[in-house]
Amino acid sequence: MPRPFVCGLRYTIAMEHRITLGAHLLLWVFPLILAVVVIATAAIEKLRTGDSR
Amino acid sequence: MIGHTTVLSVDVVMVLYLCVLLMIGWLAGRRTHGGDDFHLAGRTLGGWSAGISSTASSESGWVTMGAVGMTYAYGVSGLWFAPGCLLGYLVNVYVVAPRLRRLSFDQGSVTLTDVITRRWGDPKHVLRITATTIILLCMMIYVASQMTAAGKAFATTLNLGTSGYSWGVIIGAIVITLVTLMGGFRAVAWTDLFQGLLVAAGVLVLPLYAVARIGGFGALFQNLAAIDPDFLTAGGGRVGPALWGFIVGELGIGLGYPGMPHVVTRYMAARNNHEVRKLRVIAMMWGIAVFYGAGLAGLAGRVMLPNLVDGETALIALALKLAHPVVAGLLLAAVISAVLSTVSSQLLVAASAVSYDIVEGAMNKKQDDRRSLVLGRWTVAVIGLLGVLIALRGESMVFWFVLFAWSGLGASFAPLTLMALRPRLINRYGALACMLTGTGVTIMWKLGIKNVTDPTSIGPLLFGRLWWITLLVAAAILLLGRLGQAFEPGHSTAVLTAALVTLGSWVLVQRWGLHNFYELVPAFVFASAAALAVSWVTESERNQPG
Repeated sequence: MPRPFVCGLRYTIAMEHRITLGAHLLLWVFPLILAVVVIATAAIEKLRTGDSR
Repeated sequence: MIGHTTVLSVDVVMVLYLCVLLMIGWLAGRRTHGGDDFHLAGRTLGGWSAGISSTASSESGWVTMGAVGMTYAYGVSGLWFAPGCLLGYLVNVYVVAPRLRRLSFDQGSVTLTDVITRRWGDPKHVLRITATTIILLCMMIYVASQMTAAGKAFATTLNLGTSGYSWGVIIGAIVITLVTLMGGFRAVAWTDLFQGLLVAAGVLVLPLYAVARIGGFGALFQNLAAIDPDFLTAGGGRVGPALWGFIVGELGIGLGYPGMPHVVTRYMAARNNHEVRKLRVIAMMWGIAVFYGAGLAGLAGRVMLPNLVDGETALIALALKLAHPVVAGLLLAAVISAVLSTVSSQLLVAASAVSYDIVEGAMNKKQDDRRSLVLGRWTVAVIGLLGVLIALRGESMVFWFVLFAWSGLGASFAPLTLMALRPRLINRYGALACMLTGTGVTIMWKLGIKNVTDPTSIGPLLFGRLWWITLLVAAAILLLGRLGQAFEPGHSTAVLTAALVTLGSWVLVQRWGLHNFYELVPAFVFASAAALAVSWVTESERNQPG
């Protein structure tokens, strides 16, 4: 992974900058949680229905 | 200044892109043998084409231009549209998609109008004619506006010269009408899949590359804070009612998704429940990637190109600045893809409204499968031509009327689609009240907002007279219904209720200054309430034969 991305991500997560908590939620926490929930739900559904396709 | 090599490369890529669209249309046309194939692809769509097609066709050029412009202008707070849209996607793919597919399959319905009329019974075609009129009006405006947008995009990217706009409209219209005409629903879904993937790649790869060039996310945020510290807050410097009005309005965009006929028909066309489960993940991931990619493009564009006259062109400007000419051509094709994927879907819905809902449905001229296909193709050609004429002759009016299209469709049909999934929640009179109230309140509220924000527009001229225009329209509908012997007492109750609620919304927006609210939110709430109230009042007529 290119160094600027790693540094940038660490920078964002550590909230070292003047980004407010609300902006953090809006910018990356919400989409990340949504993506995880959607994928997890699909995986659970697949296991529950025994669908191997 | 764009170099000669870049212009040539972009031209070549664009021509190849258009050829690919035509080839997909031709391939789909070879598999289209009848009316059911033409209007709903014979209910054979897989998860990928149904998922990407439903999302790509709902976003239009807005996602590659409007959404980018939001974060370019407002910073991180411009991203509030994304949760709104994604919540709309969630409701659509988890609640609407599986139930609507099942319902339409059991009913044998082909269009959203078909689902509505068969759900509540419509012996005199009152619901069918009302729904088709609203859909046709909104879709024609949409088709013309998208052709206008395509014309501008082609004129810019193909460097067509002084008469570029007209040629752009004509090129875009010919290609997309031919594709839709040849392959119908299947061609539209396949081209949507191709174009949706192109859009996702474009709005994801370019902004990430731009951020890397800026020096990473840390440098991006540092630069944004230097331009305006409010760019890094969720409220963007707004406070009080303005902030809450903004947030509710942005989240409210999502309310419209279940009511978009060109979106929900994709779920009806899904092959089986397994494909519906697959399309959920695909649609949601596409939405997250595209919305946040577009938002990031706006933020990166603000830092790299801070002096753009129009922030909505940030993605195009970034492509021309950063990418290799061939890649820039592909990225510009992605921008145009977002427009064309929507226009083809809307063109088909408008054509289905005329050929299937009006000619075969309301006029009772049921065609055999082969004739239904020919009728559908002719209708696409005529509506495509009409769209071109409107786009060429009435460009300014198109953009004025298109403001009503999304909210009008959303408020009229989203509550209805959701209520259709629950049997016996409302009756056919409630359904009529819902459509009329949704349309009426949308127009009233939008003009009310215009009245405050743009005193020089046509809004104020109309706004003062709207109360009696509303009454006149209601009287005309009642008269037509009575003369055509189509109205039962419940229909009259529905029309009067819709007129009263529409007038009530006029009082709300005029007297109490509620113009901060995006019109879809009150229109959705009032339409739902009117549907439930009318159904409750006309309860005794509920079980009449339909």
